[in-house]
Amino acid sequence: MKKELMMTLLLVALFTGCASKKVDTLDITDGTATSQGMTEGTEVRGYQNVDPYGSENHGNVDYNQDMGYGEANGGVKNIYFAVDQYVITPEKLPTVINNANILQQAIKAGSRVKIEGHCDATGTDEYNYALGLRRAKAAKDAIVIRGVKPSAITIVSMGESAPACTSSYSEACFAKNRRVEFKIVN
Amino acid sequence: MRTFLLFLLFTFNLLAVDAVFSIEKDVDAKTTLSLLEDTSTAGSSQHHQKMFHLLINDLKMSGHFTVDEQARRGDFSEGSMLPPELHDREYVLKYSYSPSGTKLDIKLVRTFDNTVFFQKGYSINVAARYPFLAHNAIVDINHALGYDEISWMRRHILFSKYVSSRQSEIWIADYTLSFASKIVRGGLSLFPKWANTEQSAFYYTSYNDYLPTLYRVDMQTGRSKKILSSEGMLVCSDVSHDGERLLLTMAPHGQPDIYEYYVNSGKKKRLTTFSGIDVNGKYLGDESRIAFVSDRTGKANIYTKYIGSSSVSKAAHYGYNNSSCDAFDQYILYSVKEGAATNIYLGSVNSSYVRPLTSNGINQLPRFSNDGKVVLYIKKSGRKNSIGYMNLATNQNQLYPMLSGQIQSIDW
Repeated sequence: MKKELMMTLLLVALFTGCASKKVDTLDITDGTATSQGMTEGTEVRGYQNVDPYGSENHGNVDYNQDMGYGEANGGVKNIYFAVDQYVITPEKLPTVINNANILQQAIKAGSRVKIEGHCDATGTDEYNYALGLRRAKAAKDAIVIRGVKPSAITIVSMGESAPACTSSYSEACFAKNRRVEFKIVN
Repeated sequence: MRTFLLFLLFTFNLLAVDAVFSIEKDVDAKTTLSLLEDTSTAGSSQHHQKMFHLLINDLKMSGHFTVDEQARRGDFSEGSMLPPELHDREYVLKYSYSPSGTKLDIKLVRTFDNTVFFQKGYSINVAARYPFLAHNAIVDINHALGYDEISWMRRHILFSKYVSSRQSEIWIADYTLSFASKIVRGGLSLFPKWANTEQSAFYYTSYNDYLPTLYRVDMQTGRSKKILSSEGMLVCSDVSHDGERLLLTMAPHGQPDIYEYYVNSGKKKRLTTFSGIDVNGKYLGDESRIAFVSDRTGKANIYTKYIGSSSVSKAAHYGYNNSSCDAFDQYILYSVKEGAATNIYLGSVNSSYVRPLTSNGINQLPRFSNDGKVVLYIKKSGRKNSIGYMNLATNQNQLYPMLSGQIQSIDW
């Protein structure tokens, strides 16, 4: 609520300028267009105002960077994926069992689980986010089969936005980024 | 044999137009034009040099002018003598850029009789947005001469870029990035999309809440409004022409599908039901049909379907890994992974027409201009991003490099 209020106030200030100023609109009905509703004192006859966003600079829309949950992963391990894949292969089974046991205990203690699906940076489109989501969904299904309560789990795709490896633009680095992370939300 | 191979290679290269390789046709048919800056104001403003280059750049990007790139100064008044070396040009564009950097006066002079063919004055509120003076002037000159509209030049582009892990920013800019301003920063804010053709509002997805949440920000009032949240992912992929319907990619149950959302009522309906990935919905034609990306054959590709129909048609007639698309009328743009490269292709949803638009490197996120005549895309080179433009009608193209950041999504 605080974040929303802060953003609203800042945006109002940014896009409209001071309270006494108006936001520009254009009148382009003929070749001698004039501006209407311009900032007081800046109107110039005979000039088309081509600046629709007022006199203040844009910017300074700040968010509280707290993502809204704490993390205490206590032995939970990431699951990694091949290029363009979202299937959990048999060799990942020990990790799935390990994670399911830990997460089950955490949920019994009153925590929730957030599963994040991540991708490498070779794609930056919606499809990449969907791929991350399918990875998170596959991980959720795998631990639910092993007894973790589904209603205590939330899944989110982070796409390529939160790389674990940023040291190089290589396949070795990308492989570390194609993963699912399990967060215990207190 | 070697000659034959060389011939083949050359032929394939000619089929694609890349930002670093342009074929200019009909040079003789273009209007010849020179610029003449008003001596009385020349050099008086901070962006004086940049204004000259922007005017040159805009004239060239229109594809309708052969521009003399020599900077000249002279008398701005009507009827004044033109320098003799300009008498072989068809037009001279006289301009006067004010010392404040917020006003531009132009006079387009027809050389053979030294008469003013078109004149107008432009103003902006802050000097930083000076590129819009140039863009609007060239759009109007182009219009006055009766050439194909280039009004896309005066639109704002809207993009999100990653600045670090879990951190992004949303910016607005002119098409050349000469003006760029951060409008959302801190946390993770993604997939900005203009909410209407007037660009008076935009949507974006915030990851700063527990679930991905779609907001609408009104540029005039500055108010932001929460639209809805969804587990998994939430993207506003397209907006109908009247701004009343959205195509959203949502995953309320972990399954990414395309939904149509009615802005006024808040109602939504699911348009795709495939058990894999369906994303990136784009309205086609009269908006009774959509193009979208799906992995229903194992790899990402482009498909179409009529809203309300269960049948689906494959739309991309080239490539086996096509993960991004845009649509204009009956045409689609899509990116194709080809080994280490990703290239952009133009296709039709009503025929097997395919035209390659790039030929090398990594080219992603293709977007049509609002009139469908120009293609915007992102060219990646390692960690460097450039915004590229291709004028489909004139083959004019240009790359504008970004100083920093990886572009996540873009709209204009």
